[in-house]
Amino acid sequence: MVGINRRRVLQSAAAGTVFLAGCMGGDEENGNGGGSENGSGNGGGNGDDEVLGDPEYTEGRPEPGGTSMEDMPDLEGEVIVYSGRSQPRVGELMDYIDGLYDDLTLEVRYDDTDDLINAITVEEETPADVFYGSDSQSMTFLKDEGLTTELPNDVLDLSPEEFRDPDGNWASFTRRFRALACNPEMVDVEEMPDDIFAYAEDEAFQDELMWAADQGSFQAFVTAMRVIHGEDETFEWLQTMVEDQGVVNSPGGDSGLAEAVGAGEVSAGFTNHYTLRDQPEGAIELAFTDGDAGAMFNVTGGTVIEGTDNQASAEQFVAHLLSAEAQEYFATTTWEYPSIEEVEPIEEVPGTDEFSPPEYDLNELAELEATLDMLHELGIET
Amino acid sequence: MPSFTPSNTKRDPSETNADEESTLPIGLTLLAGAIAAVVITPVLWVLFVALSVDPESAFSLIWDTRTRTVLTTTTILIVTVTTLSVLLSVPLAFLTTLTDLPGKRLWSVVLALPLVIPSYVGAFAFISIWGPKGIVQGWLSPLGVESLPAIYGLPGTIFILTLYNYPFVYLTTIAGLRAFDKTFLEAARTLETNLVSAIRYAVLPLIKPAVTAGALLTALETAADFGVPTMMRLDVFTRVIYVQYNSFNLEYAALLSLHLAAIALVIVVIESQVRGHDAIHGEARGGSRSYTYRLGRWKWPALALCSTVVLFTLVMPVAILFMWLVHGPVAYAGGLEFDWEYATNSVSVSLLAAGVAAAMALPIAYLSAQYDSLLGRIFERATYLGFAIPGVVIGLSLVYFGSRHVPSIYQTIPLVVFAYVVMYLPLAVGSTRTSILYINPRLTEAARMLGSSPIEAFRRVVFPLMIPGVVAGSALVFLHGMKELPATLMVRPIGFETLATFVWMVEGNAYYGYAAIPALLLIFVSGFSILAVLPRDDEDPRLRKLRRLLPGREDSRDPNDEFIIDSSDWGDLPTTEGRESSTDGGVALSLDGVSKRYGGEPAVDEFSCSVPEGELLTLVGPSGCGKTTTLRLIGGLERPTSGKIRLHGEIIADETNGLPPEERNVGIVFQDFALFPHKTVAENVAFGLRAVEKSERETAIDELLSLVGLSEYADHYPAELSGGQKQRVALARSLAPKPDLLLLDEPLSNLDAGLRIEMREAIREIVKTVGVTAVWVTHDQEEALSISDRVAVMHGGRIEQIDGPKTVFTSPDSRTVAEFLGHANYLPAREENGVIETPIGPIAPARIATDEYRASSERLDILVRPDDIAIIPTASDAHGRVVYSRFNGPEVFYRVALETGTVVGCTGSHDEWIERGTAVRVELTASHPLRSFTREDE
Repeated sequence: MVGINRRRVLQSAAAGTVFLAGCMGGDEENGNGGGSENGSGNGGGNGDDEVLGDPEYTEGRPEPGGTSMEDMPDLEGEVIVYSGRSQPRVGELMDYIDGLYDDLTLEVRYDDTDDLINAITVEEETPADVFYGSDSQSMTFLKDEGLTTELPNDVLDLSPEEFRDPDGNWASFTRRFRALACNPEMVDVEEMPDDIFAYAEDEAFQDELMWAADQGSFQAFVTAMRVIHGEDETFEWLQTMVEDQGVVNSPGGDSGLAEAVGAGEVSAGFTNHYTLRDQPEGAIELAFTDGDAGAMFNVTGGTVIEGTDNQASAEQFVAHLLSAEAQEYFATTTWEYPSIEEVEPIEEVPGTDEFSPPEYDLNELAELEATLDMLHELGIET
Repeated sequence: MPSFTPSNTKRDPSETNADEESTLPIGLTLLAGAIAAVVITPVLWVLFVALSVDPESAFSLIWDTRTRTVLTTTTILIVTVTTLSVLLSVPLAFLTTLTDLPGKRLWSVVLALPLVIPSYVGAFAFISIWGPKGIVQGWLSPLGVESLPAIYGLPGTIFILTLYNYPFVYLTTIAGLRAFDKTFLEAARTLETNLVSAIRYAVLPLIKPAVTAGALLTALETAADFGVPTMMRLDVFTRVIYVQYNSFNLEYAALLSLHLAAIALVIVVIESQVRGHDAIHGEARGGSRSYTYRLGRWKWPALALCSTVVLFTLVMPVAILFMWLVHGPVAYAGGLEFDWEYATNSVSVSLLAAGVAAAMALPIAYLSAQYDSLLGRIFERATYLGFAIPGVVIGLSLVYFGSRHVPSIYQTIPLVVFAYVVMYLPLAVGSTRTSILYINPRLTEAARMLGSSPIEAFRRVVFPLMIPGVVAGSALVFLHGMKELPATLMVRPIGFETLATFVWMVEGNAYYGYAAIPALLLIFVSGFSILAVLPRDDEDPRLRKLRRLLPGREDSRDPNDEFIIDSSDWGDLPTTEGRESSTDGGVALSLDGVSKRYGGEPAVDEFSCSVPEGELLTLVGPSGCGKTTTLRLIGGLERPTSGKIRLHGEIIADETNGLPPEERNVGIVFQDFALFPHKTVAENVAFGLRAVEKSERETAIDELLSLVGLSEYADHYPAELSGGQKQRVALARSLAPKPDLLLLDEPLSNLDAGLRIEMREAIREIVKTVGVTAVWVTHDQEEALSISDRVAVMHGGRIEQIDGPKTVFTSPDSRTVAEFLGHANYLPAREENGVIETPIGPIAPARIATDEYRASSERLDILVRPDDIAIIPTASDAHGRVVYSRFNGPEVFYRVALETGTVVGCTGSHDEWIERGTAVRVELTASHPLRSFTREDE
């Protein structure tokens, strides 16, 4: 068990106001954005003297290992990226890459992952060259629809095998772990059960737990549970959580959950590890389970769209997000776990050796429908 | 005994907008249909996609218990929000239009402003303040208050949606209140004495169409709102659709969207039923004076109500935004600077959408307002569907169409503009349509009769008058465009950021500090457009003054497509040496067996007559007798079903062909004058003179205005004139093009009694001075008898009698005519020994005017008017007794019961007063021959 606490000053006015994040679809990662058509924005630029990422956390870190963008083939022509990750999260990185090459026009359409998937499905011939997903399900969905192409080995080989599509159609850029956000004043994180099923049994957690059932990350977690532990066990767990433990559905996605935990409305909630990033210091700490669905991780990643007219640069764009600079950016700015071993996660989050995620195929997370049916059957609002 | 029963009224076509209800103009219909088809296509795509679901799953999805629960919740939400909006808006509208509420002009703007605040921002602020960990909870926690009542769910959603959607009803209601004639309210108050029932019985029915129009928009907006129910965690259709959409189940999302489309259809149909197709134009009589109810002590509760609404809808969200602004950006987000370009993007796309929507709304609104046709209604109602479908679905539909069929505009600004048009066109259509309904259809007819083609009449009269409505509609589209989010996200060009998308992006990531400036900017910019949406009170006199100063108000371009007036005719017009008023000239007008049927019912039935040059003929008869229809047939505003109408021997209309009104050179004065409110007196008079050279035109205007005694009023607007003055302007205007024939449709019935007599003399004088042939319609027999050369008494669509005034009065052809023209006494009589015996004594047969009695029987009814007889009090040879007396001023009216039982009315001098019960002798004093009729069976 690992206990972590983190700080972050949010203005008091925003207390209780995080609900938009949830309502607008997707967790905070899925927020949309737009506008960074080219590298003219601040933070973009020439790479040399400007720091990429959140300066508060980039300082004092060792030089990132891995392949530098400088050592990768140049990008050129027009590359259109449909990004399910929002501009506030990755806009700076996109601008940075765009600013590296004179001959490159990088156009990024920021939107909800779901909107982008639906758009690509409906568009007769999507303008997108690359899809940048905030979860593996979306990329798997596109792959299954025959809308993606296989990545070349030199791109795939940048990251370890377990973090990428077995068919080679997408590569992951970062990992994010499921975790329990705990209120340190109400529970001792060290004492939290390391078995996800224990939370349905221990009476101490009655009316003290929260989840965010409308979030894609929660639904992926339930899907993983179905895949790993079977339909019946999953159904029973969900049912017990609802009927016996009185689990509370989050008022506003994962941010709202973290907010509620920090405020002591409940003592713990099922969420993602990076919610730590936007909470005031010490408000919440994280606990993890061991080897079960509760310890699953999901990935963000990229895939090249079938029929792109700029195949080489699209592939290399994916490679660029696996570069030393990009991976360092993710580690320090989004607090996620880099996909390449040469970059260390930020020290504010637990080291990867402290996790013991279950074994399963990320592609199976795409089976969302049965999950939703199960949640609805139990009257859990999504 | 035949009589005029009031129920025997034919449909009066002049009371509807639909002059040619059976013949929709093809071009306009096609255009409106094409526009409706274009905007409905994205909605149809939803149907198309939904149909791809296999029927079994479709059925189970549509009917599963969850869907039914959601349907119930959605219905409750829509009904409650709409009802509450009406209950909130109507009192607020009353307060800000009809009372002396302090600062009511400011209030009326401020109370409409919630419309500019995106409801998701409002909900956000609401939760921030009242939520479980909100600001209020923060204040109260030192007092030991641990938790506030839960705000989530149905009640909270209803509360917020009401606060942000009520302005639709509010705006339409004040428009309705400002348009109707406040004298109704005064009249009702004198009858009802109490304001509440006055409002209930007089005002509410009149503003019902306006309230329903607003309620429709509120209901549809509520149905389509996504942000608020989601934030308030309420399962409604938009949210369920979103869930399916999020699971990439487009077909299911489409299927569920059909629920919303069906709900929208139901709402639209209900609204259609409630509102009817009423023209809601006011009377054109004297200006509708403003009415003010003094609030007195109620001022404070009224102010409190307004303040509370404003506090919740405006102050709180704006305060929250300012709090964000003060705290500033805290969390780190690279490349997230606000750019002014977002504001210009928002404004330019919304402006474009407003312009396009206004243009596209025009044909649809015009068709549906002017022609009461099913097709017009369908086109208009169809545009409302897009308003109720969630933006994501519309956006996706446009992605489908754009990328497939018009890839050149996919992910371009035009597609964004089109998305807004699809969603918000009904706002423009509704507002434009209402403004057209408020335009008196007589105005178009007046323009036609003054020589304007239909298109020209539209351009010169209807269009200028509907501009405020068009602008208001565009402004509504504009401010919705400013707020729009989901569809913008789907179809915008890559990198195209608007204020709304930017606000949402940064809020979605909890970077509130970054959201403050764009959100405030959005509210500020949209706030200005509210000023255009707000209906204006009676036109500001300052504006009139300003317009008066503008040169060249009446354009005179392209006079060649007009009918040409021989300007050499002009010299003699205002002088007295006009045509002779004798009736022995040529025949000016003739009608030959003219009939007009509405669905089999004849309004005019085999009408034949001819009017000599220079004659003043009145058509008189009870309402519904077909006199106005006859007039409109002559003017060309109606087409005869059969028969021929000739003007100076030339056929101007028969059952197959007809000259349009503008080519007949016939002038008309309408009952409600139908002066063009946007033109001065001089411009009104000049309206039919565009073909005339400027200097001559000015001379003619001067001469005509001096003829009607209004020279000093040349630069006044109709609203500044009294009823009598308006009437004279209308007369001058119709005479200006020197018509071959002048038609007057009840020209005096909108005037006060005293003025009526004065004016009828004046009009006759003017008509005779000018020497124009005139046909004058009235229901007032005294008016008809006093001014006419000849009177045609009409009944049941036919002429009962046409003769000189004296003849029709003293020698009517039928009892119908006799009774219509004045009090008719019938003395039962029989011939005995060459003498006619009556209850008042024998009468010599020679005194009986017609030979009818000889042909029939001995049983006669002799017509005697009250002043044909006199009563003399007597003790000896009395015929009867006075049973009733009424002092009328100059004369006294008596009713005498004769010994035989017959009651006769007669008049006596005011000099003498005979008490009731007095025994009197009745003497025949008239010297003219007496009309008699065969007596009917008793």
